Amino acid sequence: MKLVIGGCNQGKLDYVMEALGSEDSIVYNGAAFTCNVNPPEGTVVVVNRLHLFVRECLMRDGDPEKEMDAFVERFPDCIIISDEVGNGIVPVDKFERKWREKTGRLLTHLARNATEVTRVFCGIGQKIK
Amino acid sequence: MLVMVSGGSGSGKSSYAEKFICDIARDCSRFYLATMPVYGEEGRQIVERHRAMRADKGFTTIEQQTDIDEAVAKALKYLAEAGSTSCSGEKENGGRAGSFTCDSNGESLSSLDSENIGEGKLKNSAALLECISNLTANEMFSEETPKKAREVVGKVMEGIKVLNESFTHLVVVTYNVFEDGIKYDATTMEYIKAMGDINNHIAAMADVVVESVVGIPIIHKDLR
Repeated sequence: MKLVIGGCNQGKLDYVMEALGSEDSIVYNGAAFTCNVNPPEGTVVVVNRLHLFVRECLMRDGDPEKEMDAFVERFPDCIIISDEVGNGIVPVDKFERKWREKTGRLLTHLARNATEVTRVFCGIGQKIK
Repeated sequence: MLVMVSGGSGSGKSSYAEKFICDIARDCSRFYLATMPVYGEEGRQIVERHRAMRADKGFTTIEQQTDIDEAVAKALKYLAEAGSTSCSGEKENGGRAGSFTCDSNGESLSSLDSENIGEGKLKNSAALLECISNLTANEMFSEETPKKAREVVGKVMEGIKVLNESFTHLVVVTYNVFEDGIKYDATTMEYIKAMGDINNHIAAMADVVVESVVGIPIIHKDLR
């Protein structure tokens, strides 16, 4: 599994697509994503906007880490893209606070198991693992 | 040595800072300077998580929500008590000097603590200060009217300088509060400004500046 992170609108998906070149891929949007997807054989599985998946998951009282672990086990060669959302004022709202914290913890957890972690800044990818 | 560790929410900055201080301060008495006011269940959970992370790392906790320089006197007092018979812990090794075991907030103390005090000064002592964001907020909002950034920056930096001169090693954890692009009310913007100035000042003084990104350390400065 490869993890790609960065601020919003930094060109993370474009960066990933360019790196994939002519390889067949399928991109799932984290906002409407469940871990029970069935992608066609031989395609590279990309999950975009993982931070929104965490949000949706927490709203239905799910465990993002558990669900993503199971997903990565099914698709060990997938690429996961997420905004970094923790670099700001701690929100007053409890749910917003929890979402930021859990997104950070999930990304830290995924980064530990990733073969590669890339941080995209202004469209430029820097491999940090 | 002065080390600054920054990062966002859930970025693994505390865990990294703890490992770092344990690596550089092997033979030191280790103090954890806790600045967070504990409110409600969520606050208690944060404290519990951090305590569990620190368990077995031999830290003595000093609660200091404002006036961070006062932590030095508390550390001195603590070490003095560790070396005196008034210590509530039990005596080991037939009463040899420096062989007491003390408890502080349930955390164990290494037997060398009592040796790490001399002529009213700390020696071989290390402190982990967590976190600048709390300390800054506590100083800014300690009275009814929030203080101005300039005053808060001055106060916090004076404290940091005292800690840096007193402890052999000081590891400071701070928070990246600068990248959510939201325009907050004037008071919060003043707080962000104070945080920015304080972080920049500490980074300029520091030997090592590390940013924790999804648990991966990004080294921004290393003069070692």
